[in-house]
Amino acid sequence: MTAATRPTDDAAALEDQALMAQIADGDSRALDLLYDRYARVVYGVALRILGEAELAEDVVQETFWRVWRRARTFQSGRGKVAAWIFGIAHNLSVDELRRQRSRPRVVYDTDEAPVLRDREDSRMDVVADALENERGRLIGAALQQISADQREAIELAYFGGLSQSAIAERLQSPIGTIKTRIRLGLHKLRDLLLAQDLRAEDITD
Amino acid sequence: MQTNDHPQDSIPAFVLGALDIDEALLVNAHVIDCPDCRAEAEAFQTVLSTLPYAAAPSQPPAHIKQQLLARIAAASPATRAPTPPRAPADPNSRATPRWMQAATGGALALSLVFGMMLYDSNTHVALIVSELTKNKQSIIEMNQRLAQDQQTLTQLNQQHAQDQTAIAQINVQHTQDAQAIEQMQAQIAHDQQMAMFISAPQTLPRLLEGADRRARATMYMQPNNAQAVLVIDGMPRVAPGKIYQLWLTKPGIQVPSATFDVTDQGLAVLQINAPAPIDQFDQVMVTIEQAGGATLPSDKIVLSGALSAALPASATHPD
Repeated sequence: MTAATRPTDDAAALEDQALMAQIADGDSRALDLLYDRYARVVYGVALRILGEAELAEDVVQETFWRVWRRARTFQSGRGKVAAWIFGIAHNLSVDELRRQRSRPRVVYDTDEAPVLRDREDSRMDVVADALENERGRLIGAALQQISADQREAIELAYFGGLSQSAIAERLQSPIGTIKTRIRLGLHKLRDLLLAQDLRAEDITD
Repeated sequence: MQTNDHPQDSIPAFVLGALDIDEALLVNAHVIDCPDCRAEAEAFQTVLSTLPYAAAPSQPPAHIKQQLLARIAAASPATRAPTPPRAPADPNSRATPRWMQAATGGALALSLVFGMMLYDSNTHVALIVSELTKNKQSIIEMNQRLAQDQQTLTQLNQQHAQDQTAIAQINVQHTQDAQAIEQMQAQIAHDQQMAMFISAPQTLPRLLEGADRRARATMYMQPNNAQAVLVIDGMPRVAPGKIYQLWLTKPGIQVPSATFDVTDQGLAVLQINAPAPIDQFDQVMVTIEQAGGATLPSDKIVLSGALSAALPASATHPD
């Protein structure tokens, strides 16, 4: 990460905060803009977790619906806007994943292949594009630098919605081993992201 | 987990939502109260917020945003009148997402717990319900324990009452034992006294003879002493309703003394307290009398012996 990218982050952060203030005031155009900025990432993570477009679409809509409804309760000093949105999306996805797992497996009609629908929707937010690319590159590189075991455990937890004990069961490893992988892996990720001069406030604001 | 016991090692997994519910609740409670751990958790939350970028961002279908904006418009009082724009061309479009249709139950997303920053009402409700359920369960368990404790207490009280009865019995026994010991000590003292009396240098033995010659007796007496000891051996138990009685006699006088029976072994040791020094009497004899004793001796004499002849001259009665 070079210093040149920071103004972009800062500008994005300022814009995020400003958009949140407008949304809190009931300005749906601001939500429209925020959607353009983060819906791709939200959809991506929901797709990765749920593996099914229709469910992921529901996550996207519900995530931004909750952003709209709860904008007033968002505390700018506490969390960053993107982290807040992604947290909502992640939680909705994991909740739905667990609901799906507790049900009999449903076979979906492949003809509807929802991933392929509506591809014509185009990107509107250039700043968000730049951030998305940069952040994707950074986290991708960082994930490649931790051990495969650590990455697997973190991904099973974050994208698989599994607890440490469930991961231990699935990998047939001792629970202590899984705990260590997650702990060391996340510490390493944090160090790597900081070492790349990606300050905490840069990551999400 | 105590508040001052920082769960640092668990914070990464907590933020990741990978802790099991029990531990997650503990860490959550701690993080809310502990600024240091909260800062730690927020640092990891920042790291985690980059993970979605690793999941290949993808453009959602256009109708999603249209439905979202329509939903917002429909919910807004100011813009209620216009019909919300729909995506009629898309047969897959749904006005109401499955979230609204699904019942609230189901699994709990642990990652939601963290510090209310990623607050989610459904999950929070589920959490509270979960905690309520646990609390109810705890109350039920505590009530059960209370009932058990009360039962134990009742049992202990009963046991205590029994113990106190036992203690009272032991005390009675102890008193009885103490009395028995006193009696034994008195007996020992008595026996020692008699032994001392018998073995004293001035004591003189006097043999009594039995009518059937199996019985033997020795009278131990001292000059000018009203006390004496009679040791009897080989005498049969007295018949029922009867008693042995000792007599001290001199011409014209028959002084009744102790009544007694012998042991199964035919033994008796009598301490005699005479109304006058023994050496003032001429003879001693044992008769069989009716139980309770007599004031005049019967003619059933089982032992008899002379006393004065055995005494030294100095102690001899002037008669």
